[in-house]
Parts: sequence; C-alpha cells; structure tokens
Amino acid sequence: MRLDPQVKERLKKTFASELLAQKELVKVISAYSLSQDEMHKIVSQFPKYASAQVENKIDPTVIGGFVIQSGSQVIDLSIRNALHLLKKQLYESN
Amino acid sequence: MKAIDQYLEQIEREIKNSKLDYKTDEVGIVQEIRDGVALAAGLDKAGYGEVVEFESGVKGYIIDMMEDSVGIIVLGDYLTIKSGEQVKALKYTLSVPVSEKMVGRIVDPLGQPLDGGEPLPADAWNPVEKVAPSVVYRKPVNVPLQTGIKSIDALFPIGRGQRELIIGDRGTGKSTIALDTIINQKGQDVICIYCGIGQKNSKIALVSELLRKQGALDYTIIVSASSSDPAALQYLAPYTASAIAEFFMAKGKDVLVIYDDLSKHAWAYRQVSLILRRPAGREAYPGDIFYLHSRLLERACRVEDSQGGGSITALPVIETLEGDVSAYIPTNVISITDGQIFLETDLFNAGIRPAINIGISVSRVGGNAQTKAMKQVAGRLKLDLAQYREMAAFSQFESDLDEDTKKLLNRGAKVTQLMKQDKNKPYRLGE
Ligand SMILES: Nc1ncnc2c1ncn2[C@@H]1O[C@H](COP(=O)(O)OP(=O)(O)OP(=O)(O)O)[C@@H](O)[C@H]1O
Ligand SMILES: [Mg+2]
Repeated sequence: MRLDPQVKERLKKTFASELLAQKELVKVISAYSLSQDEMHKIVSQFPKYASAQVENKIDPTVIGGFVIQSGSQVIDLSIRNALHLLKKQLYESN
Repeated sequence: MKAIDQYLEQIEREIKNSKLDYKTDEVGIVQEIRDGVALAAGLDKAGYGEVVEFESGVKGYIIDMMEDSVGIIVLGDYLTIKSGEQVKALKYTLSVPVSEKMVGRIVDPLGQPLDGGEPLPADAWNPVEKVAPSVVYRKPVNVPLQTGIKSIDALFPIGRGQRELIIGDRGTGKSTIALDTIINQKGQDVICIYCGIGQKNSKIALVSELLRKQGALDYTIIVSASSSDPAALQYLAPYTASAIAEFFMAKGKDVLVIYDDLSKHAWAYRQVSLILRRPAGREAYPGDIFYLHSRLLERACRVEDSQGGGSITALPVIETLEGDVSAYIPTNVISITDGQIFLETDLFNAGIRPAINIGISVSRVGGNAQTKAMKQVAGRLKLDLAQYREMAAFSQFESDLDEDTKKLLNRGAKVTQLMKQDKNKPYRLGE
C-alpha cells in the first residue's frame, strides 16, 4: 500500500505514542474472559506487576493458560506456547 | 520417540513443582520488510547485535536501533516474514559454532556446512563480533610466514600476525597469490581459512578443487557467502572467518585468513546501510565503513603465551578500478594494514607474473620476520629493482647509455626474469 509520506509519518507517531501509553498497562491475554478475582490471583504471582493497571484481553488462539504482556516484555504461559516449544523440540531432535 | 518421553518427563516435573517457573521474553512487532532487512517496533530492552527469532523460526540480528524501532538483518529466507508478526529476542549476541572438525570443509557464514557433508558438531560457540586483543596481550611479529612466492618472500616478507593487503585490478592474479600462499603452508602447522565474499559459486568450486588437488584442504577451511547469497550474509562472512580463526588461535595455532575480497564486502554493507536508510557519505558508503574494516583487521594479531600463543595473519584482498588506489575503500584499507602488495595489469600483460609493482608495494613489519639468509640476498634487491623499472622506462628512448646504467639494466632484467613464477608452484625456502 502506498501512503503519503506525511500521513505515514503521522501514523507512525500516533502508533509510537499509543505504544508508549500501553507500556504502563499490563495485559493478561487468555482464551476466554477472566473474572476480576481470577485476574487478581494471576497478577499477584508476579510481584513486578502487583501495583500496575491490568486489563484482560481475549484471544482464542492462546487455547489455554495465559500470556502477560507489558510493553515489549512478554511472559508466555499459554498452551499455544507449550505446543510451539514441543514442536520445536521434536524438529530439533529429529 | 525419545524426545516425546523427555518432554513428558519435563511436564511431570513442572507439575510437581508448585512454584511458578517462568521467563520473561522481549518481543516486538514487524513493521516493514525490505530486501533482507526487517524493521520492528518494540524490543525496547534488546541490545545491539542481539539475535532475534521470527515466528517462522528464521533468525535475524539487530544492527540498527532507532527511537522507537529496531533494524534487523534477516539471516535466511526473509520472504516468509509477514509484517505484523511477532519477533522474539533470544538474549544472546550472534555466535557461530566452531570445531576442529571444520578443517577441510566448506561452511556458510553461520557455520553450517555447504559441501553436502555431515553436519558439524560444535566444540564451542564463538561470537561473530569480538573486540580485538588489547596491546598487553600482543607479541611482536617476528616469525616468518613463507608465501612460497619468491618476490614476496624476498622483498615484502610477511610475518605471522601481520596484515598484508593484496590489491590490484580485476584479473591481475590477486586470488592466485593468496591461494599459492595457502598451498605453501603444507606441513607448516598453519590452519588456513579462505573466506570468499560475493564470489561466484563456480569460483569457490574451483578454489576447493585446486586446494584438494594440492593436498591443501587437509588444513584449510573455506567460508563462503557467494554473490547469490543475501547481502547480510556477505556482510557477516569475514567476521565469521575471524571467529573461527580465533578458536584455533586460542589453541595456540598459527592461522592464516584470506578475505577475498573486501571491496565486495564493502558493497554488501553499503547495500544493507542504504536499505536501512542510513545517511550515505562518499561513494554512497555509510559513515562507519572505515570501522567496518578496521575492527575486522585488528583481530589479526600474535598473542602472548598466556592467551594461547597463537597468531592470526590476515591477507585481505581489494579490487581496484584502473589501478586507482585513491578510491575510498582502497585508501581506507591501505591505511589499516601493515603493508600492501600492489598488482598491475600492465606487468601482468607483459608476462611478468606475479605482476607485483616493486616500487609501491611495501611490508611495514615483516622485515623482522625475515630469515637471515633471505635478508642477505634481498638486501639491495628491492632498491635495484625499483631503480631498474624506472630506468627501463626512461631508457626506451635513449640509444647510447653509460656503462653503469647498462649494468643496472642488465642486472635488473635478469632479476626480473628470476622473480617470475608460475601459479600454484610455491618455492620452498631451500630451493
Ligand atoms: N603467476 C602466474 N602465472 C601464470 N598465470 C597466472 C599467474 N597468476 C595468475 N594467473 C592467471 O591469471 C588469471 C587471473 O588470476 P586470479 O583469478 O588470481 O586474479 P584475480 O585478481 O583474483 O581476479 P578477480 O578480479 O577475478 O578475482 C587466472 O586465470 C590465473 O590462472
Ligand atoms: Mg580473485
């Protein structure tokens, strides 16, 4: 897609500032929606994020478990990731 | 099925362990893909030179860090990468597997075999980019490395740990000098590494065939990123060769590395830099092009016994256009190296082969490494020959010459004949 460079520049800036705003926010991504209580239980396991603002995001491809995302840092404890690792291990050992 | 059992065991262990075991990954999102280079947002805490992995399993490494994105060189098929996909930092800087078994093999810049042979085990992983040993660990260069080429050993001796540039136009015999030097290391306990950068695959095949025929493959490793490989791999090749050389140097071995050639290396880096939209300077090369080669060639050295006591001798090759040594890359590399062997088309065509221009070739440190016998013979030779070439050109127009000049011309002509040498026939010191 061809974009006017100026528009592109503006889009980039908006994107960057949005990313910055999201940095403060901790996202818990799960396959189905979590109750407030469940969210609290999960986050309390990670002292680093104890006082952060948390948000639940639903992504069925996670399958099970959850992914915690804060800025560019990700803690992946999902079934999807486990399966991914299994696949990798199988390929490597051949 | 052993792998599955292992995996099940691991899961069982994890379930038994009540404490949550997790690791934090550093990720980013691919924004743009350009030829062999990807730009990604995020990866805030990743470092320069860190290896990253794309969803498809293709790896890359970070060579550019901007305000809110990073530039990643893709090491592999970049066509499988889609914008919007996740990249994960792997928390280590780029390293290549190195092992004793590499000797006799052809490998790519990631240390993987290219010759269709068995996979190579890794004795160790060496970082591709490494800071050269500091002054305190270095020993002076005073052990000769015989090239087996009469004119070089006599006039421009090369010592172990030296960096001697081979420079000349296209087809003047640059690679031949380098390869003859490898052939001459037979039985000298020297490990040789031939690093082909942007060479045609057919040439690499010729090189390996020649070395095999001459029995030189038993102590030689060929590292190749051919002209059909992505620029990123061509850019990496000499650093990989250096990393392999350092592995052997640490074991106390003397290593000879040929970089054939650094002009193409500079082109590859220019391409990567332009794709990353870095500001272009003279001849469209980026600002750090000097550092590109200086940090590579500084890694050639001879180290103290406490550091293994080995050495890395580097013979970089530079191709000039119409003998122009004042172009950007040639001047840079000339100033970095400890001397240069300058090859000329005119001499080559006149049948004086190797076509070394005696007048402007030098070796700045190798003198200390010359054997005594050689020193005695070679003493006045260089001056005489340089004078002769000068005089010969001059006297073409002069019919009656005085006795001294005639003598000089006579002697010069004889020595020039003596210095001629056919390719792939190195001389032993005794001969
Ligand atoms: N001493 C020699 N005696 C006879 N032939 C030689 C000699 N040196 C080189 N040649 C021949 O000259 C040709 C060019 O040599 P070579 O490939 O080494 O040059 P080059 O400078 O590396 O070329 P390129 O720029 O293509 O890399 C080859 O065909 C080689 O066989
Ligand atoms: Mg060549």
